[in-house]
Amino acid sequence: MNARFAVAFPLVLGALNLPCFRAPDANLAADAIIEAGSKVAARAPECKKLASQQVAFEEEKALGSAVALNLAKAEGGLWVDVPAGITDVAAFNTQVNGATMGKVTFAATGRNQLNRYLNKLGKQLTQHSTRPDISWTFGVIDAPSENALSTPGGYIFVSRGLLKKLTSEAQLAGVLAHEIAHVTERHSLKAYSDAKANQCYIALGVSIGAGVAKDAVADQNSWVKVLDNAGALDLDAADVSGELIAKLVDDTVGRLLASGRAREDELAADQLAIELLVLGGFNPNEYVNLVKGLPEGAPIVSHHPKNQERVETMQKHLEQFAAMKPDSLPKGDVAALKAASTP
Amino acid sequence: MHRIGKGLLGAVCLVFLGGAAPSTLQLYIRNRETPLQKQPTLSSPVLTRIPAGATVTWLGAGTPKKDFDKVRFGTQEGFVPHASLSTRPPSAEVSKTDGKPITAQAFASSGAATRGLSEAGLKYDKTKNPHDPKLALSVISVEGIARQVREEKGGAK
Ligand SMILES: [Zn+2]
Repeated sequence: MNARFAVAFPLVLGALNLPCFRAPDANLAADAIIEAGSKVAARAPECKKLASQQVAFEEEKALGSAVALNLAKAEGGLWVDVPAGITDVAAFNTQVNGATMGKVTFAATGRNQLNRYLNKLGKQLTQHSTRPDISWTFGVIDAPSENALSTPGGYIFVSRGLLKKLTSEAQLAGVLAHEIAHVTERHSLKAYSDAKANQCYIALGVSIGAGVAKDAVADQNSWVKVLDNAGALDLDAADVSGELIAKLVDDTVGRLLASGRAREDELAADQLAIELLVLGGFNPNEYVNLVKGLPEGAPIVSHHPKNQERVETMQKHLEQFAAMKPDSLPKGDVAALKAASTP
Repeated sequence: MHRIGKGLLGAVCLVFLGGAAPSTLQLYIRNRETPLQKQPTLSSPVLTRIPAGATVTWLGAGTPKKDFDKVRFGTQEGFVPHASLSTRPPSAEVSKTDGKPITAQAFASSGAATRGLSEAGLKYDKTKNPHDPKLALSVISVEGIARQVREEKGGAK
């Protein structure tokens, strides 16, 4: 899509400035730290391997939930009605995301119905994807801009402005399918793995001396554990600090913002979107035409493919589904889209 | 064999055995033990069960509603639910403890399908928004609605 579609995290820059190094905490026993520090520093070169290891879904979802919160904040919040009287985040999270969902009723308000609609549409596509069993979550950003975003772990957000602009359900399905493809192909996880290697290297390689922060030692221990566990990082573990999570998330987002998505990733997401549309029962030409009419990408994504290249790639890809007669597939329920986009 | 991309996409490709003739379109079965049925109805006799990840040749829509497809699996022809078809093989997930590949079955029983906003997400939110739970509550609400839809039985529409 254009620059706004292409980069998963386009508007989060301002929210992501955390210092890389912390002020020293003078209360620690310097000698013990120096000795421990020299041992862990020797392992810093091992961090490099983290850049090429596949990330487990649990880790991906933990990263994704942090990024989703970050995005939702930067974009002006989510368009949904929280059940009345709910104020305790941890208790509500257990109720909703526990092994068995507790008794939660979401009132049939316009906002909540819109979320239901979007998730039903999403399900129609993800059931044909290569990762049908992950916890896909489709939501609406309360913003007039025309954005579609995805995070690792299966969070996909579209803005209200985009919903208003679309003229067919198949177009919306195409936008969702493109974002689904970024998730199933793990396009953002390369940036995360690079960030992981980088943060590991910084944490272990930092010179340990008198007065080093207690948190820095805790983070070093976390990274040593990661190296000992073949790269697996349990971000949800009690001993992983909020600061370590924030550094990793911010490093990841920074990388994605700096380079945008790779040209081949964008073309691949379009091709996969075509496949999901055809199997999902939507006319893929609606999506092709939508891309045709997009404004060209901004300079931040200089290697982003031009719309014409995207369109031609999709049209060529579509030929392979000729037997399924994609031209005759429906545009979807336009009335449902219109009702949904004007809550 | 038609390759869709390079690099990252090396492992995933659509298999096409020839030109555009209908009988050459290969699709993947995504569900375990998907029944190949004699007729396009759930009550029809089961000819065989197809393992997840196996390929079938697409022969046409099975019903006007397109909720079943006619396919060839090996030498047998029959019908499978449309929802069980994918254009690519299932993506392998890895274990959270040792990074090794795990089976689809192990992944499905790992609770992945219900995993939502995690401890890490909550910690991150506390670091960034120490005094405002509204955002986390709204993300969890969307997750709740999404989960209810995911867990609804039947087709997506
Ligand atoms: Zn994209």
